[in-house]
Amino acid sequence: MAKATTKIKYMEVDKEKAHAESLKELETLLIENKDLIEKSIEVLRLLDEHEVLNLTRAGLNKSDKALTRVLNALIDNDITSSIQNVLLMTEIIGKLDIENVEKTVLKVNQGVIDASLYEEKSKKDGWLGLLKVLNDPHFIEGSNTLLSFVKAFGYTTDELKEKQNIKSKVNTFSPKPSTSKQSESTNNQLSSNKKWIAATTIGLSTLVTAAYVFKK
Amino acid sequence: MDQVKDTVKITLNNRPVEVPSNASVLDYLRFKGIEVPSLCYHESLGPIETCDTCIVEVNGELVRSCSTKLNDGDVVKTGGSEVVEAQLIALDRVLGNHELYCTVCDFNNGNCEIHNTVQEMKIDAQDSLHREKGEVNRGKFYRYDPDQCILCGRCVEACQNVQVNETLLIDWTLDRPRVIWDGDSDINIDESSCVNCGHCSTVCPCNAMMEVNMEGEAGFLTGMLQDSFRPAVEVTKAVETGYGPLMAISDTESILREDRIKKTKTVCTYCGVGCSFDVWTKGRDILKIEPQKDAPANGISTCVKGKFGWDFVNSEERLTKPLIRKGDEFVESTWEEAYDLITSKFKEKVEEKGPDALGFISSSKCTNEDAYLMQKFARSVIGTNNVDNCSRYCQSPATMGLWRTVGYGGDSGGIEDIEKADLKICIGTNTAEAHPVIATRIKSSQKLDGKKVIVSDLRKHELAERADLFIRPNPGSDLVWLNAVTKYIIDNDKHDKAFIDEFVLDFDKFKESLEKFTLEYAEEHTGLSKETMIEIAESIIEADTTAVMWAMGITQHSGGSDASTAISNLLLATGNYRKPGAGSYPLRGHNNVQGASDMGSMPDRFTGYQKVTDEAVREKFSKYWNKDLSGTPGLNNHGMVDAIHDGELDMLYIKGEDMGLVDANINYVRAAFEKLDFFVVQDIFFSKTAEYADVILPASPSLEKDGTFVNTERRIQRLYKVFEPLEGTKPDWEIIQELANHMGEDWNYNHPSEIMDEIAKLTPIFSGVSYDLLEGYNSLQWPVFEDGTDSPLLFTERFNFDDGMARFFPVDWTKPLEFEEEYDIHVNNGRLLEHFHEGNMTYQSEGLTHETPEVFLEVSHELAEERGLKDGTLVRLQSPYGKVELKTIVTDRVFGKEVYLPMNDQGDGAINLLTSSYADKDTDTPAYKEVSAKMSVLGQEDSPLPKHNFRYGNRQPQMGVNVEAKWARDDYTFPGDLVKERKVKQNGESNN
Repeated sequence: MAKATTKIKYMEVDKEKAHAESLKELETLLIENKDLIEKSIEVLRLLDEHEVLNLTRAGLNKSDKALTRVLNALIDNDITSSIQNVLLMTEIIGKLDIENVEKTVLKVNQGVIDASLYEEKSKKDGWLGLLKVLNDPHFIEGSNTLLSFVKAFGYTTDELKEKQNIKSKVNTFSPKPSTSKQSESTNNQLSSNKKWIAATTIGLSTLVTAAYVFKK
Repeated sequence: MDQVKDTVKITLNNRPVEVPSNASVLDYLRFKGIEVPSLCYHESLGPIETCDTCIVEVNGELVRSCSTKLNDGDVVKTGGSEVVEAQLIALDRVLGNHELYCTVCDFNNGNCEIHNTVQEMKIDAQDSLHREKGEVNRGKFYRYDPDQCILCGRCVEACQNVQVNETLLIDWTLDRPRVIWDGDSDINIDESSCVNCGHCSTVCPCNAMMEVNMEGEAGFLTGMLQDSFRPAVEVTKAVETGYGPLMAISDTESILREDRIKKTKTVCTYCGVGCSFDVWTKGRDILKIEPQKDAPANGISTCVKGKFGWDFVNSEERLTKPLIRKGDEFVESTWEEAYDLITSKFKEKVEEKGPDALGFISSSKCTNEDAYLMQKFARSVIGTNNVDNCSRYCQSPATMGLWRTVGYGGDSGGIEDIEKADLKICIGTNTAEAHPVIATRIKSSQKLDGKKVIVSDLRKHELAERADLFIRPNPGSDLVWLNAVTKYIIDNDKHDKAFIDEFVLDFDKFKESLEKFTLEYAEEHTGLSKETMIEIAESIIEADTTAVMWAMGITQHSGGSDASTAISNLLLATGNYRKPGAGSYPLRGHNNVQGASDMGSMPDRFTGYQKVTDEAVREKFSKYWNKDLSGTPGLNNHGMVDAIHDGELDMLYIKGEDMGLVDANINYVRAAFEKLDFFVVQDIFFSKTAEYADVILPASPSLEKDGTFVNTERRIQRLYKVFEPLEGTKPDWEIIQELANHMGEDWNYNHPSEIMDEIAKLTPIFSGVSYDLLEGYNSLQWPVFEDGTDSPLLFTERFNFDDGMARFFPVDWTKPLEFEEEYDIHVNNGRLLEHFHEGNMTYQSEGLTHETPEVFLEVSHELAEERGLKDGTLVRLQSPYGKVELKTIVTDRVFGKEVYLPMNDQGDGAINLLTSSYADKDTDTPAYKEVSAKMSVLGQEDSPLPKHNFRYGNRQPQMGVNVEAKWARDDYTFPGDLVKERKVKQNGESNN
């Protein structure tokens, strides 16, 4: 038979007993992991000696503010462009055909070696030597190889991606309005001719320059 | 006559296929696993046509696949340069509205549709620059970031056409369109008509509309970055070489989040709709409630309580230790001490006076398994049938009415039947506030499909405002107009003779009983005109299917069972059973009021409504429990209170029920508590009832246990444990088991599934139920047969009587209680949307309390003028049984001398200080609605309802998102048209 009441007497926690129990548990934990604790303390001591702990604590305390400063610095000093370029370069490196580059490097190496050996000759070959070389199968095939290299510069990016089976990135850019098909065709033709002329010019220039350099 | 074809033949990506004729292109593509981007489309919302990303080619034209139906001979292409170009244009526009910072976004949990679409389409860069749109609009529960909004319109569509609260719009006239509330771009969420149902944040495909509890919590970095957030986003955008690497990093981070965010399915603990959803938690923090489209009762729908009302679980006011009364205070004790005391007291009393000196009240909020063990304890351990639950306070009359006529005391069908019904009649139910998700189905079928809604109520609540016909009969007179309408239909030969001949008995006797219920008689006693009643009758006759919903406005009267019976009689007379979209739908109030009764928490029934007086049934239980069982029906909770006063009942054990607030005539009830020799209360909070206890046991709420609930559709659903029980508390079933074993039993249930297995063995309507069949979002509607088949629609084979026939059950009108003339104010009472019952749980939520901080009394303009009342006037209402004091608000929701007092108060405004002990003559359900009082004015204070409450908002009805306004903008061109223009231009130039 009881009247309504809202009075509640809360259980008194024997603080000393609870404290003693917690200490006992802690003691057991420490003893069981003595080696680990000793090593951890040693690591912490070293970190502390090197100011790492202070630095970490400061970093965490001021994380948002510090991070804001760093990020703003990146933006203000155009470092973001540099970072982006590095990331883009990393992507481009992935596109390099290292296997075939190796073959070209070997050829370049040999070219350098042979040029150096020629440089060391006391008696140069002169015009007669040059004429003889024209018939040299290595020279012929070497020239063809160099021309093939130059010829590649004449392709458009899209043509090259298709040849090398590289998938274009998808973007939502709106396609630019194009001119008429015929003019496009003419433009293409002109463009193609220009590319050949450019390619040939580059190729010959390369040969002449190489000759000049190695003559030196 | 041409036959409607079910399939059509089309060519899809150069292959001929046969497809369903009513499918959209997108539906079919998804079905076949063909990926097409789509951002605004949502299965539960249908096509919205705002994002344009789902463009495909049909018969050479670029069209939106979401809204294009398939026809014979169509040629469909989902690829090709033009299709892709159009999709990319659309996606570019989306990205111009949404800044991608996935790694530091709280929505990046694998379900962000923008992130996933960008990834699937392998988008690496966008053309359109992101432009800002405005400030964040922040509410208590969710916030809107316009800078992240892609204007898909899903939130608007959900608000306008699913929830039909009609708060959200997109203002397409702005230079930078954005979502707005109540048609005003300056209105804050919490000052609008928004009811915080959560639909918008649920359907948002990204983080634009997001729950505030998610902010800074979901991601590893999202909480760390505050001032550094914007610089971090700028740096990321500056250094990224494309979205590919960004997606990879954010996907990795999203995977890591799975380690700390747990997602657990549960069933809502509030009302009888039985919404189910995933609860996202991090430790003991609840991040959000995520409804799933597969949830059988609610789909993506929720209300404010289910979506946001869970703060109570982690409230510091939770009970965490058993309390034992010593003198005039409670002392914290151990479980052992509590069990010892209860055991000794119970045994002593049984020996001294017999088992019937004890009573047990079970909870309609606890699980089926909790309820089952409570009645098993009472019957097999103590030996009494003095068991009841709170359905006595509300639903027993409805159950009685259905038992009498159709044999099962449950809803005829499911919520989808309510939605399908051609005509919906809602009597004495404030559905939009008491069963919000059911109300959404009623409202949306009316708005979108033109289904008719008739509402009968004293009060002009939201559904009444929207009704095609709103009637206000005199209080307690519904039976009269129902019978009059039935008589009219029969007299005009419009009753369903074939149905009656085949399925229903006692028609002649019934017809005779209706003789006095002429339209004139009804007009006199209901205050309704003959024309109105004829209109109702004609509506029922014209409708293919009629569903009647009712709640406490019918049941909580002296003739509640008879009024419920009258409803069922009307449905039988018009053939509105045994077919989809028709039937009787008493709307159960609590999450498990159906289940508590199903589990035998009743003085005269075992589980599954098997009678205790039935010898064979008793023998079955007796054998299984290995106990002798009493065949004498016990006392219901109403009877228990009387018995306490009479000195026949000396001890009470109440689980999960605040009887000292929710029973009628609480002065009388509390006086009874004071007379008890011993009183045990088991609850999660220190309730008003607990103040009278001798022992209080701390229990765990639904999120801290496994179990099942049965909702208003008879749907059994499983809830999974989200958290371990708060330290010091236990699930109810565990407490009861431990107590039983303390008293010498040998119960050894290890998991609630084992309890359900036992229930299934003993209960025909649950015979096929097992937890295996209830995994995940699976559910079963009883009766469930041994092979596991369930019964979504009742009575398709037979009515639940031995002869398989339904019966008309003649009923007469019981006049409501009459009071002395001085008690001239009729005090209607009921629920509020934002608080549940007395508010034990909901007042723990800061957001809900901010919305509605206290109870209030609605008074009419007429009464306000007569008595000098304003918003905030402090009044006293005095009935013959007690008094309340509370503040008024003046509103057009009530009329004349009818006032409305919500039941959400635990103090001086508690409605049951006014109610009497008079009850329904057949079930003892208190006649809560038959209350009259006299009013005196005490003073003037501030209004109890803040002006930011949604009731003062300004709804903006519209059909969906009004995408046509977007299309009409000068800066809009359909991407397909742009692509077409370019192509034409190119072709034209090449021909020159």
